[in-house]
Amino acid sequence: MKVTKPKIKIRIPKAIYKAMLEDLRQPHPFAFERVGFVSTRSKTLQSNIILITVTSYQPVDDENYIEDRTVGARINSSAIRKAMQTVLDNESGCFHVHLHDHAGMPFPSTTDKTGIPGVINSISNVSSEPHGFLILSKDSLYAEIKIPGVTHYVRPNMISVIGYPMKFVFPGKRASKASRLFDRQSFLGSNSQFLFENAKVGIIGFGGGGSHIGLQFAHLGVKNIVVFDGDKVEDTNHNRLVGAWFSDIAKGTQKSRIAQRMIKKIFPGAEVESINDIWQNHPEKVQECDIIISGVDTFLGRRDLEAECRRFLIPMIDLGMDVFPVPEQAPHMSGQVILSMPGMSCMSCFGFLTEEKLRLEAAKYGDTGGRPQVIWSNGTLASSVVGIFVDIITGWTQQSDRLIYLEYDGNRQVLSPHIRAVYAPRVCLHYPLDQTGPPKYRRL
Amino acid sequence: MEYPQDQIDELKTIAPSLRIAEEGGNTYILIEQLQLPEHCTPKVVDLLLCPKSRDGYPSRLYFSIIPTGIPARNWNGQVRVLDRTWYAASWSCKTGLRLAELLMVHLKILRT
Repeated sequence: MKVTKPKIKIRIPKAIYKAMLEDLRQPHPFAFERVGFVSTRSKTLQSNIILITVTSYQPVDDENYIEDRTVGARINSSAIRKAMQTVLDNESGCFHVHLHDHAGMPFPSTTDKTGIPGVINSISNVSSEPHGFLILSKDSLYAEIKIPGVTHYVRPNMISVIGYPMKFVFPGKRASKASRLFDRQSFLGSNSQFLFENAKVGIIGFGGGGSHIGLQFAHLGVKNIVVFDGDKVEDTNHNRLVGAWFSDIAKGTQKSRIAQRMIKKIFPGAEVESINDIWQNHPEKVQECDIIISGVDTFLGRRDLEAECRRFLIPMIDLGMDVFPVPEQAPHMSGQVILSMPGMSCMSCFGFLTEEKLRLEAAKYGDTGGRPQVIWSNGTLASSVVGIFVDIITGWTQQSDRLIYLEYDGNRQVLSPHIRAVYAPRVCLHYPLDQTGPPKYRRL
Repeated sequence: MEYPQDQIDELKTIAPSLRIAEEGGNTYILIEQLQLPEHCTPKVVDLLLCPKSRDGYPSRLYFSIIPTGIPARNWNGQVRVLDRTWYAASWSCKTGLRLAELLMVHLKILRT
């Protein structure tokens, strides 16, 4: 029986990545380098992808170094025992971390290759989680992982730092030849198309917002797209479903099929996975994604999707619009675009999701009716979502750590920052970063 | 969120295997492999008890599988919580109940 090699994705929250860099740059009284350990949680998906989320960083205390001028740093058995205890207490994996303070991809030195595996082997004795080591540089990362049952160390397929903007490393992958198709967007960065080709994005809901986004992703050259939608084209959604033909109404074409058809016609190189179902029935397909676009149309649905994304360190960009009747006045059209970045404000922190809204929506269950929806406002919101997506992936605007909650006034065609973004906490109050990966239960 | 030990001990008399975890600011009590009444299929399920307000209900009890052999209920709560899919029926309980009382009131949906 052929055993396929697992694909491994390591996800590191930006706050922890910054903490590591800051600590590892601290001078030590005698060691040339510093060392730390990160705790991780891992999950093996049915698709044979291993997701590893970093949950915390523990520096090695100054007193646990051994003076040895022949190496960058040598740590004592107390430091290793402490790491092992952390693994036992947290039922976690553990990665040895240190810094090669230069630009470009770091690689293990001869000393690293001889010294680190012994530490990892000790830690592996107390836990069946994947363990390994991370090497940071000024602008890149290197990792090797020891998977239970595999004797040799393997490199991950992707390491990502989850923040605004994201940082991606795809070991062993090279950019494909530049195409004239994307010549006019080269200002996004020399590696922007490489990032669009290798990041995986999920579109939950291919309706008025999601269909615009799918169209734009295709034109951008975003290659790996998963579309989740269990609905079909009808006469009542044709007015806003980009990519839907008139003939699709009579045929009852599935929206997920529309997505595949449209995206592939524009960008034949795209790999589109169409899931004709709700995402809740395919959660691992969501977990595989690097960014999620939420075209979910209920508060309850958004809450659940956000919780899933937070658990697996996936940035989520949400959009939505509505039209409200106003007595004796013109109806009011409004909408929102919200970035839910793990570690930073969530939709509850922003005050967009509240218990009261969830309660009222639950009370109206089954009485939703046909909500007003039009194409142009969805297009405005969708275009902003794509702009945010591009910046998160490429960092082309050189902005960082943005809190994004945009409110849309459809009567005046104005999209502007919501005042709540000014007062939202910068660190999420609801989804702490140590609650990622498979949940850790405590016995009562 | 911590629960009073006496309530936990009381709940353990019904469900000895109890574990707890948090997500999104809510605390959930996992009850594994609870035996259901004879008329139910399957015979054992995992349950997830959310003693605080969620989804517009004062509390909620989620099942790992929708049981059959019971009267028709409005199973309106398919959710993803703590990396699992759960199902809850529309069933309201008053607030202020002890954990064991809460569980027993929610389990009344299984009654024929």
